Amino acid sequence: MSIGYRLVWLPFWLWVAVLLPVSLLHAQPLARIVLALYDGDSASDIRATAVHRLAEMPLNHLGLVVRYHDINSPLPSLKEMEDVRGVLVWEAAGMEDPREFIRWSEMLMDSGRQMVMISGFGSGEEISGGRYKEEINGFWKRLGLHSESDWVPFTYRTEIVYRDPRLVDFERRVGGVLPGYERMRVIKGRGYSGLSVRQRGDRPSGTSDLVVVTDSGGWIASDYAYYHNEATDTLLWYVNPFEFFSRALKLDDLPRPDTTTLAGRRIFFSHIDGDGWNNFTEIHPYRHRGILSAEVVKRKIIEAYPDLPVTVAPIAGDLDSAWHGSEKSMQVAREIFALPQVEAGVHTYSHPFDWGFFADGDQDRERPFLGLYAKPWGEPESLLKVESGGHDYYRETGFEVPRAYAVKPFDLELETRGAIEFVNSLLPPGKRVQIYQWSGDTNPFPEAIAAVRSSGVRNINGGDSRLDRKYPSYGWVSPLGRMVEGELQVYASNSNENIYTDQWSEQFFGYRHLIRTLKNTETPLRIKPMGIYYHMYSGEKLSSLNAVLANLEFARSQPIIPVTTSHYAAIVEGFYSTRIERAGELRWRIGNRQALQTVRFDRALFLAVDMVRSRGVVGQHHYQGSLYVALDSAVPEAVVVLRRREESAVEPSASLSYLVESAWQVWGVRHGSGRMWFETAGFGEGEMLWKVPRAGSYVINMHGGSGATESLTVVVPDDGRLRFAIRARTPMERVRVEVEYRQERI
Amino acid sequence: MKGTHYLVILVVVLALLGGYLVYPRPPELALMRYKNKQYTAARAEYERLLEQGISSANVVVPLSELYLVYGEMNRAVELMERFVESNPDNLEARIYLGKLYQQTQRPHDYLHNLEKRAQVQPSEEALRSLSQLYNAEGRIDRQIEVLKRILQDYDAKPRDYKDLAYLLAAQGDMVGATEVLRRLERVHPAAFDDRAREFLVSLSLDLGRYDEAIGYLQGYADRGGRWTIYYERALAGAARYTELYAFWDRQLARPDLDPGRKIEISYRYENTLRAQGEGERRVAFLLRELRRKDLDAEQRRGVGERYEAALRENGLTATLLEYLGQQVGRSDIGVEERKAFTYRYEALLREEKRWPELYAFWHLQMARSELSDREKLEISYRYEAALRKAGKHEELVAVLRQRYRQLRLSRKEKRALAYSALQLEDKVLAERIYEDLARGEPPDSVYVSQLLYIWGPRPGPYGLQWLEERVHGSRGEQRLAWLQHLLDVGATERVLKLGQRDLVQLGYSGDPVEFQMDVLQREEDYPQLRQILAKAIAEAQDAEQLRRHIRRADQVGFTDLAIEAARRLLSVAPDDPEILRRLGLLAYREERWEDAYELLSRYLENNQGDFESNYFLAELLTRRNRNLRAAPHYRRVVQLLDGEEQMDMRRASVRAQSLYRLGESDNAILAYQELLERYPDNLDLRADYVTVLLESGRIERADALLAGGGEGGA
Repeated sequence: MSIGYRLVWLPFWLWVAVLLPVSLLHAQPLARIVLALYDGDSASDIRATAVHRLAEMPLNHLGLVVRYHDINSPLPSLKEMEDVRGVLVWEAAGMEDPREFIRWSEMLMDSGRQMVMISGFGSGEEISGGRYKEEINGFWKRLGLHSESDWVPFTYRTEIVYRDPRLVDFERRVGGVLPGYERMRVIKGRGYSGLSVRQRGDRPSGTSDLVVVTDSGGWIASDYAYYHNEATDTLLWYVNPFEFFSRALKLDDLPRPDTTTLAGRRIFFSHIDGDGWNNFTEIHPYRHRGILSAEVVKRKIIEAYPDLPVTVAPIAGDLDSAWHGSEKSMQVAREIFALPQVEAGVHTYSHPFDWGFFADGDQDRERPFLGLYAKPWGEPESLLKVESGGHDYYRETGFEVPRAYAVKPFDLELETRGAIEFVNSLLPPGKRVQIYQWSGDTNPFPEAIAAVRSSGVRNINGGDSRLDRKYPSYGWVSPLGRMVEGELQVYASNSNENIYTDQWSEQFFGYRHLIRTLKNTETPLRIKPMGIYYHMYSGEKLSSLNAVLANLEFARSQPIIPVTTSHYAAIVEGFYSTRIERAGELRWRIGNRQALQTVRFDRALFLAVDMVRSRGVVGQHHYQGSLYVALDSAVPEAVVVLRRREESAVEPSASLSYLVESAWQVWGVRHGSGRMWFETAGFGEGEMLWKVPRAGSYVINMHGGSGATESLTVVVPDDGRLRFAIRARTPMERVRVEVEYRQERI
Repeated sequence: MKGTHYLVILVVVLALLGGYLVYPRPPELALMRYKNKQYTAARAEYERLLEQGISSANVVVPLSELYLVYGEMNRAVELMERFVESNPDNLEARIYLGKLYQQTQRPHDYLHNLEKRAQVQPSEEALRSLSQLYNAEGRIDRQIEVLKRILQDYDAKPRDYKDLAYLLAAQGDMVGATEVLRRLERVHPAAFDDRAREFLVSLSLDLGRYDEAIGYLQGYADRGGRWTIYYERALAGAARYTELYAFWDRQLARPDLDPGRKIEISYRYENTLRAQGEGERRVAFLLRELRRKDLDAEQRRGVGERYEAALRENGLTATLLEYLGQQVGRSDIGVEERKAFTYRYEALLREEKRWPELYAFWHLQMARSELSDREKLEISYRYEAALRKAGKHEELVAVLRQRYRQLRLSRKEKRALAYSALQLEDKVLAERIYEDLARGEPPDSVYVSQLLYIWGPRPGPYGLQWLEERVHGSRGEQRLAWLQHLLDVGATERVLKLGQRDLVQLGYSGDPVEFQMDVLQREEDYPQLRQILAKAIAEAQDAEQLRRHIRRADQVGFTDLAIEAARRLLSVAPDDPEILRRLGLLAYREERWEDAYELLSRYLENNQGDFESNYFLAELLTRRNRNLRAAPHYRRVVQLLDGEEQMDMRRASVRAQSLYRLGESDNAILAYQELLERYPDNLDLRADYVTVLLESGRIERADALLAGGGEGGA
């Protein structure tokens, strides 16, 4: 074999030896799971855990998915944790015998996964005199900390000797009466402390580090993560959870799948639960005329905002005349659903208040309550003794009865598929129920979520986020949803008016405060889309009606992209399924993302999308220090390639046209010589802003569903910003757009 | 007018009066509209009343509610604020304003209003709310003020006392905090829980109120953990050492107390005794501790070390020596621990300069059967070092011999020992060790070399026998190497006895005469060698033998014998070029011109030859005026010498002469000139040069050279 012949094979062998292993390595998806260990003995529902209440939202924002595991069950093997980036243990390590956990944790850290502990293995006497001291100290050492096995119970002599404002003093400055703490120090060279304290008079060696990031994870001393005052219902983070988790879990390399943004704009969606459908309104001039609240909502809200989609979800029992409905209530439903911007949803059949009550399928459990229902499904055998809402069940749950209506025994099939089919029967041709809106405590059991999913619709509700003057903390902002036994419950992105009116009991104007939450969840971080979620009973009172209208006006005044509620739920589902692979330096493959079409890069002022090398990227938008990359829904696996840039004050230059922001969804983007084609659809007017390579005249041809073509010419100034709007049409009518560069501007 | 008329008039008047009375006044009308949800009309009605100056609560409150219906929150608030400002003592209005602040999410205004409300009409509820709000706002000083008022004016709850105590302490007012806690104990004894007690104790200790702390710790000191520490701190702080020691004694006597805890107490006990200068007591305490039955080995070791330290610090050397001596003698401890004791015992003896005791100790140790060889070896080393330092030569030799005799040593240790023995000139020990080391070793072993070195150039019979045994016990290369050793020590006879074949393999001739000459040559016994060589030449039968004899004669400088041998060889091998050349050169040097001419001619007839043989033959031909035949040989000379890298004076001179003979006078002169520059004092050279100059007609330069002047140029 001649040398020349052998050289022919050189590239192949080079590929086998070098590039193949590298490419295989890169084929590994970036781990996005945080395994949260919780103590199932003290918190049977993950909703009650600190991780779910406080940590999961920041983790979601950072692009991570939380998977819960009861620390009392056997810990998962490494093989079962291939997709796990790190473990978070918060208020769960106070176990009787921690040795198994410690062995497992050390194995985990040795495998390169991060371990984040908030609070320790106990407090007070448990620390200084506790058993397994050696093992516990070994654990801390592996994490990068040295434990003195000592607890400082009283802190009046304690002074703060170092605080890093990037990590602590986030929503509240650490101070006042400091909580007791375990004496712990970062091992030199292993980590960094953002909060250090010392007893007055102690030597520097007596310093304790209380908020720590190490090479293997992080630690926050018990009670130093956040402040809580039960009496005033005040909760405020001491620690900046975004910064802390980002550092402790080493997230700099992870693009964040983003559920707040689409086509460069903040997502808007709105949904209505059917409660109060049949209530007669008290608003003049409809008062005393037998006008239903639902009719008022239809006339005053839905019809008044044809540019804003809304999902309407009646309670089937409110419409079904065999239950508590009437022909009139059904007629109102038909009229509402006939409106083109209305998406059909359903808000159960019988409106369970307490979903857990029905989880075991024992219908007889409801018998004691039958006397409290208007149309009970059976003869009340023994009436529950009710003394003005004072029975045990009420005291325990806050509910008089487990559900609103009990015309039939609880039947999960009727409650889910039955309700969907009932509402489907009221819909105009071409429309189907798209989403199921949870009722009551919004705490459905896994079988209920599964039943909804198997009915082919998405689900939403729960969460009750607030971020306003009354609840001025990210601690009151909920995560994206709740994953329970493999079933996903998508949370609404904001609280509804029921919360703002103290269970619809007072300050009926209160829902106006939603605007504060909408603003605060937009700036300085966009952590939630704009969700306006209310009930049909808002049509009952002028105060509440005005409040909803004020919120909608605010939404209209903002640069938003309106979508249906089921679309938002699909985006959240996409968040959980998205698979990200690193394909090289500043290069990622984003796949399996379903409806999620935005990835975000934080601290990205000096980064921009390399549009030429990327695939399936529609556009980019720098906002509040982050780079929002709009992906093309027509490309199942997008490749995002970034480049570094020198300047941060202006939009990145465009060698290839890209979308900056749009009120409509944009997909199927193709580029040609001096031309560009894409498809688009949305609600209201489709205003959009593109960045194009050259100034000059651009002709925009639009082909809508009617077949007619409309054209307009736009002159693009030197900044390369091509701004135009597509006139409003039937919601979500698909429009094909061709943008053609005609001439250079003189 | 009839009565009827009056009646009618009366009814009409009454009706008008009734109508007037039941006709709603403007505020009532507004309220009716408000209640009837006719908000727009109600609002207009109330605003009209307000414009008319009617700003009673009946107008202001519903109007502010109406503003809220329309989302005009600021307007609602401002209206109520104005009202409250005009009616500062109207508590209900202030409460309503507070509610408005809450509903409109104005927490700071709410707090400010609550402060005002508490001023106007203080109440426990308002103050308690204020306390919590101050806490949430992190305004500790304000919360302290409020809590103090609650404690002073109302039926304060335990939580209030505790909160106040914590806040005061955090602000540095520890005295205030203790007072609050003591008050809590008085007012709510049941709520004075462990944590409150501990807090009070902690504060008392930091304030130096030790007796007070002791009082609060009665019944708690035995609980262990921090309680015990507090109690000890308190007793120590109060200088109540008798009680403190008694307390510790009690703790240490408790059968239920974990030994680990007891050790911790024992440390503190000892530290206190030391700090208090209770040296004897400390020693006694530690001795007592050491005798405790419940200690495990580790704990006992720890206590023992502390006991030693105590003895040392108290200058109780004799006791310490006795103690260490006992420990060294213990058979129930491990090697490492015994070693540690031994070191410390020795160190102490050294410190105290008790050398005889130390030597005796070591001596005794070496005899202890339970000690391992390793331990003894280490002792032996230390023993050696000490003796060396003390210059105790004889004892040192004895220790080394004892070490070799008694202990199993590694080869390295043996080598080191042999080296020490050599240093001490104990050749006997060194020889024994090296013989031991060399046993089984190959002949090139360093140990064999060392042994041979000790034995010297002529070992005694034992050594020769030892080597001969090695020859017998080995084969091949090794056997030859052992034979070589025998030869090296002059045991030629023994070697010859061992056989001819071995000699050949050793590179010697199989011929005994040759072998004998080899040996004599190596031993530089030249007279004997010359005698035997002359005889061998005379008796030689073949050319090879004669060649060997020539080489040997050349090597040792027996030129005459070499010539003799060469001549004999020439008779045996007349065409041998080397012999022709050799004898030709020899004849030339001895000026036997004819012989030289014949031999060199024959030699160069079939060989290129070297520069010397060519030059000599060329000179002989020149003498015979056969210049044409001489010329090729001169050329050959120049050619050969030009190819040589190193050119000494002789070669350069021959080259210059050859050039001259070839008629290349200028080149020859140049060559001589260079030569003379390099060797200016060589008279022969100068003479040759002058000859060349004269013969080539360069008379002036020759004269100048003869006159002793330098070269003046060509």
